Amino acid sequence: MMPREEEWPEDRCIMADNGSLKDIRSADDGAADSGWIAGEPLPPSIMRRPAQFGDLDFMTTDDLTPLPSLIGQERAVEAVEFGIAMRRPGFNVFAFGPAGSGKQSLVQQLLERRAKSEPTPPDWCYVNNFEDARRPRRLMLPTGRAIPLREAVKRLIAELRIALPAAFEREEYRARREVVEQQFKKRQEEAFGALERKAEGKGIGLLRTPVGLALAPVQNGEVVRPDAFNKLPAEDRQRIQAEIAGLQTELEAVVRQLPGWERELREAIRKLNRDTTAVVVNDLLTELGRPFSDLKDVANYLDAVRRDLLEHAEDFITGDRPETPPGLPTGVAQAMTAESESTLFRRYQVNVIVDNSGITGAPIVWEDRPSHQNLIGRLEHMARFGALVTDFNLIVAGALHKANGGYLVLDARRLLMANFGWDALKQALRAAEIRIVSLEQMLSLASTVSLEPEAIPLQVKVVLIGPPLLYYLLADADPDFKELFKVAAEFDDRIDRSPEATALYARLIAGTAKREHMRPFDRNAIARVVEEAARLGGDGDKLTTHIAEIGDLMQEADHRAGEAGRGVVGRADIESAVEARRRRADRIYRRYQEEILRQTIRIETDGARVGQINGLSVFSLGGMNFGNPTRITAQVRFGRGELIDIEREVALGGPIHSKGVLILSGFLGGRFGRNGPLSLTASLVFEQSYGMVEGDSASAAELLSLLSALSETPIRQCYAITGSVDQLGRIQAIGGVNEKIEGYFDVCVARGLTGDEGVVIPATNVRHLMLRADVVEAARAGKFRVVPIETIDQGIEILTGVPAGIPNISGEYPEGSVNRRVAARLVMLARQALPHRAPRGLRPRQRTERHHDED
Amino acid sequence: MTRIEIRRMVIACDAAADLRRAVSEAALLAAEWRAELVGLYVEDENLYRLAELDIVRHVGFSAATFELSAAEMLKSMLPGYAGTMRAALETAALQHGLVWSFDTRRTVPSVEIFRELECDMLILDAESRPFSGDWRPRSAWPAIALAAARTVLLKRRRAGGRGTVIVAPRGKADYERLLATAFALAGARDEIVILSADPEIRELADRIAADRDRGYRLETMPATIDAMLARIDEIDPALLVLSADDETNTLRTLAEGTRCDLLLVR
Repeated sequence: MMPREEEWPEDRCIMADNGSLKDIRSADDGAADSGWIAGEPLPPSIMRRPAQFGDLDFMTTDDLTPLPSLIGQERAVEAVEFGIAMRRPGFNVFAFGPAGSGKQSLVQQLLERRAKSEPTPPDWCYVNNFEDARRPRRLMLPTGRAIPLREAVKRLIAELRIALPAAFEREEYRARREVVEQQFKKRQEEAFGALERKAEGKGIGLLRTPVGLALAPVQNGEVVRPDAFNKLPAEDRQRIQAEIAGLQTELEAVVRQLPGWERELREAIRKLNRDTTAVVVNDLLTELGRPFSDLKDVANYLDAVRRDLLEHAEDFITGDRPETPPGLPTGVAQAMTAESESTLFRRYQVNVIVDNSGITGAPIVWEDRPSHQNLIGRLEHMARFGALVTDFNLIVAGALHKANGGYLVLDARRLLMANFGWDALKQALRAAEIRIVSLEQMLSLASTVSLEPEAIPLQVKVVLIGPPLLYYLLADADPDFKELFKVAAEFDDRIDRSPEATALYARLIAGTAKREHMRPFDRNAIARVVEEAARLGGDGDKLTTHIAEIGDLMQEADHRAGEAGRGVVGRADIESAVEARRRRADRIYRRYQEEILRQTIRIETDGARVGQINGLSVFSLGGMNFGNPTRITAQVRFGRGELIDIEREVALGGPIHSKGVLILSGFLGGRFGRNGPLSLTASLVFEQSYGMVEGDSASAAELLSLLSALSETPIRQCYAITGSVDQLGRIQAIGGVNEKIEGYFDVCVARGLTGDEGVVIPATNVRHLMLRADVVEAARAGKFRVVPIETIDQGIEILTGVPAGIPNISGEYPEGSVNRRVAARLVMLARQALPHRAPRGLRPRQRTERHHDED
Repeated sequence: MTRIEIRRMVIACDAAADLRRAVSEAALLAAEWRAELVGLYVEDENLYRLAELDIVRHVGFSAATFELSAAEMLKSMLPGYAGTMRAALETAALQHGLVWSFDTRRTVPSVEIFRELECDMLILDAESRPFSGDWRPRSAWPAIALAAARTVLLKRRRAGGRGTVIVAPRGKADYERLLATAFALAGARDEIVILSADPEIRELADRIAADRDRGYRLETMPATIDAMLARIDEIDPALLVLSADDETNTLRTLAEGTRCDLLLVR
């Protein structure tokens, strides 16, 4: 019978490999301090460490000061704080760590704290470049001044749309223009009229032809017929011809003056238009510019607007605008006219792309879709009569514009997956400016005329958040990465589980409950959450930093408490949530267990077998881990020193598993083959395993089954064992110890616990134990045991009930010990081998390589 | 009720005419009145004669250069102008859904062209196309309009203005036709109407205005032709409506003294 918890011996020694006694109190694993002994069943209190809050006195989360974010990430916090404070190029931050470890919330918290005290950056606009419309100008204004400027310009445009046409409709303008035009006409009329009259006096007419003017002899208003003209006396014809020639010379002189007169007219009208426009524009612009008189750039821009308005004064005269092409339907013609008017004034608008008026401190921008366009901005287009057109009003800011002067936080994975987002970000950071270039231009896919907005200086701190793998890949593969992201902030997935940390964890739970508007959690519920945090961390001495997962658990427990009509979340609610989460994901696990119970999968939990042992494996499903027993068998026979790993032979064994099997060869050779070759062939297999086997956590089980087979000593099937072994026979830690124990426990419980069942684990895994309450309870009742071991010999003794045997000074093992039997069997096999070629030693068989014909 | 039936409108021009405004106006009116629109292009015989005279020299548009080969070019170009007018007329007719036709005659532009022509209204453009700037050689069409025995709408250059002024001098018997036509045209053009006449015409004007559902303003006709010209200048109308049967010889004076469009009612 197993000792009860209170009966556990205080002071025990164990036997070392060399046969000496080892004081466990001085063992470096701290086992003695914790009250357990290697090779003996663990006291139940060791199997699951309850939460301890130190001096923290509270009843529910309402009594705790909420902690808003992560604890125990001092190194990451220090790195992020340094990165965001460091104002040098390239000191951007890559925060990486496991998903759900609270990176985002911590980064947000640190950024908010810092950004609050920093100055709010200026506003940014794009305005028309009146000298080159293809290159819109940037305009920087102090924070909150851009919108007032835009609105002021809007009002100006609204005023101009009325005032300018009205000014040109005014009687005064029309009269002045009439005067100018009449002067020109009068000059023309005088010149042409005089010539026309002079020609008429001589019987010559001035006619309009499709190609110009012509002088011809006329009679009664009609051109003289050619035959009639030819019948005239020769002197008359010569006279008329001479008259025409003379008049043509005069006409030529008049016509030569026309371009000059027209230029003068145009200039005079332009001046008149300019003067008329100036009367309207100067007053309006002076009034508009008054609130911005302290801003030189705005003053310059308004001056440019003034010059352009005067330059294009004619455009505002409705009657002088070019008419729409003939033949268009009335609706289209009207739309074109309205569009033309709208376009006329669009050039003066102010496109505010960044308005920081609503921000206190520096901006923090989180861009969820960090594509090329969403980062550096884009040029939009609008359809105008079948064509896509753009102008500076259609420039749209990207996340870099919005974060300029502050912080930009991006998900690294999304950034790398987004179209050209990574390239765009690097380019902007390298050049320290945001230059809007469309993807089509960048990839030379389009050669149409587009805009080249003036680049905006960039001063931003970028924080990338992602998994460690991405950080290491980028650091390895992208030479720019280390230049641009010099600060690595690595988040740990676990923190130490000290009473102080546990107390902080309780406050973190209180913070989560408060932030998510959950019911209060009582002390026992918090303790259970902390225990689950340790369980999720896979270590009784640690707590997980997967805050998101803990938050999910709390949400579910809160929901269950609500369903049950409780105002406070209790331990039972947490238990219920944990169980429900497990139940939702354990279909495959249950099916496997069911098949074991139905003996479709053969796992024996009683009796004893030679060369057969229960190993333990763990598998992951939907983010949850489950453990299962696996039957491992070994067969030995006379041979040439080959150790056949059947999993490896059929390519179902991974490299780490193969390594574990090779280590067995080393162990056997080292312990039993020092004085002669090993003349055996042994085979090992995971029975009824049809998938990949990876990891070395079954190597101790494999070695024990091999030793059992060699020594023909039966192994007690009520035990399962997990652990890896080194060449010296020392047992080493493995992963998933809790799940493995529970997996075997579930099988045993289903078959009915007899009190003999148990699991043998590496002693170095004891600190990782956070077993389910029912497992601990069974142990407490003496119905199940967990036995830590440090050496393979301890395992031999526990699983066979036979002493392993310590060699004497001659290297001989005691009679009846397992090791003695193994040595004897090997000697026997060696004798059988004498007539044959001497083997070189036990070695794994070379696997046959299969070469596929690539053709 | 006096009904003015405009069933067939004829728009005429030659190679020198500035036809765009006239075609546009004619199409609008034809659409309003559901009238058939007939285009008549006059190939000016004078120009053919001119082309045959080897003593004739041309002066080009943009520079005072003699173009000795212009005569042949001229002969080849004249028929092309008919195509231009036809295309403009067709476009306008399609736009307004009109019944239309087109004809070409080679002759010297004169009032004789219209003597045998069946139409309710003639539409002519008073201006020839400008020559190098704003100067336009004298067009034959205004004189033809004055002499034609038809109701004529003469399109002229207009700097601005709005409204229709109807001049109805004392002693005219056919006030009814004059006013009915004027109100119909003003309605089609959506113009306000100012009637310059003796007050005794009010009853008739009220009736016709009511028929057309249009208002008007009656002004007493100024006593002298100069005063009338001054008043018209002051009003600056878009359209001046005159009776072509005027025996007081004010027609030519008013026509020549104003610059707005002119409707001569016969």
